[in-house]
Amino acid sequence: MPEGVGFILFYLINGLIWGLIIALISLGLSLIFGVMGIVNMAHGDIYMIGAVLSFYFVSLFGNFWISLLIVPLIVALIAAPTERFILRPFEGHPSVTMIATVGISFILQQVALATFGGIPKKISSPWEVSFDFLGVSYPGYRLLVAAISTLIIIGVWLFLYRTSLGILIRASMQDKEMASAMGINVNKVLIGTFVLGSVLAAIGGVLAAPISQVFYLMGNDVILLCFIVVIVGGLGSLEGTLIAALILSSVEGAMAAFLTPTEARAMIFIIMVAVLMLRPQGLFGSKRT
Amino acid sequence: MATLKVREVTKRFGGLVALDRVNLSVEERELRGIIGPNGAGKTTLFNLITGEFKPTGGKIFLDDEDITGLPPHLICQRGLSRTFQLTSIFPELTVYESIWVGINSKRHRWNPFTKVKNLTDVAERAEKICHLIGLQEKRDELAVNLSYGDQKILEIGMALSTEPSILLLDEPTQGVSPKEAEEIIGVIQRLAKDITVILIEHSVDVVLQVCHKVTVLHEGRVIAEGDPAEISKNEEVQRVYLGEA
Amino acid sequence: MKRGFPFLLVISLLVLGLILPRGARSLMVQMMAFSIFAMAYDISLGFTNQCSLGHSVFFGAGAYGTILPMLHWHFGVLPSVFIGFLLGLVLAFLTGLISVRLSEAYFVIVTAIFSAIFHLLAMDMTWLTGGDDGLSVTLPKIGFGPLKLSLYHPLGTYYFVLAFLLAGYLALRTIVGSPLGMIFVAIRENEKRTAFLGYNVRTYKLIAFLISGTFTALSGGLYAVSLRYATADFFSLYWSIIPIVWCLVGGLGTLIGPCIGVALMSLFQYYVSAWWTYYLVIFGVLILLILRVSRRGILGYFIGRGARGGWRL
Repeated sequence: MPEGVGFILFYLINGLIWGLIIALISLGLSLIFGVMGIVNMAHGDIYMIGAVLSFYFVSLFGNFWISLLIVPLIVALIAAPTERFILRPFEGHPSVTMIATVGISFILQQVALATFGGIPKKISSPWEVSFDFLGVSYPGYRLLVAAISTLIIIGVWLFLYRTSLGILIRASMQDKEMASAMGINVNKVLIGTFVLGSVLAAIGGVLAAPISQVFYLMGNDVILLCFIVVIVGGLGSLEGTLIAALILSSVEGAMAAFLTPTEARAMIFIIMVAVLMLRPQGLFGSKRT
Repeated sequence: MATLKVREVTKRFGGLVALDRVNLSVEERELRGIIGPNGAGKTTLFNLITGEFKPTGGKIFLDDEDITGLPPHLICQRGLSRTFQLTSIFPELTVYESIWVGINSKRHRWNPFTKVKNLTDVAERAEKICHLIGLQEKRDELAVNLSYGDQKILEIGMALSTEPSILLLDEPTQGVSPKEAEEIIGVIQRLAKDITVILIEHSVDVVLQVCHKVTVLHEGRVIAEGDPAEISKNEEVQRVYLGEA
Repeated sequence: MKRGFPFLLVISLLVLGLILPRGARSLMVQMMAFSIFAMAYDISLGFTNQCSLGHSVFFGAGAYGTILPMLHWHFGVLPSVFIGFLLGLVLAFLTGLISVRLSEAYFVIVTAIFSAIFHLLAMDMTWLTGGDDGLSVTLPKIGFGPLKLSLYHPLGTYYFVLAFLLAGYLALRTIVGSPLGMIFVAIRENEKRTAFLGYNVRTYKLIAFLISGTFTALSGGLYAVSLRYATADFFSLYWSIIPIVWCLVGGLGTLIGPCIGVALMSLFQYYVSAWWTYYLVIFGVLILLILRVSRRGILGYFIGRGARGGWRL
């Protein structure tokens, strides 16, 4: 096989794997918006917290995989009261939630800066195996990330379609008024959704930590791509978010083979503008009057 | 000139047929009533006429001009104005300011220079409308602080302020006290002398008392049309309402 | 606001320029430049409910639109400020065309994306922007025939920026008090009703966004002139968020309120950042507290419903 194909494939696969992580985070963003109308500007910082926490786990216990189990728990414990006591009064008003979550973002970033510090740090890869394919050496950990992410996405799907809470969450996305009119436990749904969304972002952060550097501002770059993903896919559409995440990330990844990262990102931005001009609600979004 | 023709208008929402080949023809200075049980499609018809939705089929003519599918602001500019069943007011504008906005619509739409106080042409007309609807005493009250009945009257005032030739009123007496209802009907009767009025009402009595002609809708179709006397004797109409009550 | 008050304020500003010590005077210059930004943002958020996160694009564009002509083509200060102003107008028009038609949540997100992309590009294109380090410029003297004003004179920049602040305030106040301003408020109160009264709401929202973006660029240009430099950092999300804080602290939809917000927050930042590096945490908590009390901001809460802004009849 010629070297060139392996080279492009490498970048494409990189993009696809990154796309799975982005899909996890964006699904969380979409769920949180779809059910409670929160535009979560702090979502990228939850991703960052996930990465920072896993860094501490690795430093303290020398084990990365433990963080995959414990970090979601920690984040859930923080997310639940945040939704219930801080964000609840603002739900349903996108602009207000945006401003409020900006406030939360400031707090999270400064806390991370004060504790973790301002210098980017690395976590060594938890699985140092490589696979050779088409003349390129591919890191085993990344393939593992792909597998884990896919499993989690399938898990989320099963949760949303097979469990009672999941069905309630989907019903609330379709029609909030009807759902509460039918006596659904609103509290459970709201807290549950916010926790689920935040945990997805945090897991994304944990998985990403060994791949990219852990830095208190790392959420900003990721949230930008997630925002573009949910706009292109359609805010509140889970299928749209998933498809957009995979396609846009893969395209960006492939372009990074011969463009600079900034140029690749700018191309994705142009795609978003094109989609918006043709369909202001995104590819799978519903037309709101 | 103030005639409205609705030709074979159909509206589907997904699988639901809200309106099915509805025909309606309203003459100049007519006071037309539209009645029918809940879900008959009365408000949907208003929504189509005023441009909030596009019909799935059929056409709508205002004075022989095809207005089908035009956006609401253009239809209003052509002389067709409406009130909403659930009052659509400006919460933090006063009665006077709310009317002012409507009157300004035909006058200083792009002026970023003149102080609003100095626009006497608009001011005069705004005062006039406040008097016409009987809210001149409350002209400096914020709309959100008005009683529900007064808000309904303000709705009519705002619709009037754009100087329409046809006025669509969606359940103007719904949710108000009997005394307020009487006031509102009085206002409507005064208006009907100069402009065409189409009235949706749930209260059949009001319609039979006040309108020149009545159209009855049921499940998206026109089932009867005629003067109040004919309609009150119509058996199918009675059946439809008895079944509903 | 009583009739004499604005007059008193102007006199105070004129006098302060003469009596303030150097450090305080510099801070005042910044606050005056930011006040234009805050008022401009109020037009978008306070008067037409458009919560934009993309205003850093205009701020940065105004700054670079002013610095670059002076640096590369030796333009004078006034023409350069004007170019920055125009650049803001063009960008506001282009981003507005794409964003204004979107629903509330999409608008917020897409304007944030614009800000992030422009920041990314500005940081990357160091040949144009100087990246994070930025570009410095020596300001030429401003000439009016035989008169030559130097902005390096201790009082030069102060009165230069003050003049623009007064002009900007008059312009925005006039717009707000005009039929156009009344229509903006109507749109804020009830978009649907406004459309059904015969107004093309989307066009008016775009006009408000244009005015807002253009004056934001003016503010950016003046800020760059006062600092004698511009950096890519001017495009960062911080500059999109800070006007929201100003407006919330001061009071939305009042024009003057945001200026008060600028004063309070600038003083706060000046003193608190000196003893605590992580003062942004207080910003965050402040935002949450203010929103809890009143969505129209602090002044809005005290004035209550029916707040003034020059458009009341």
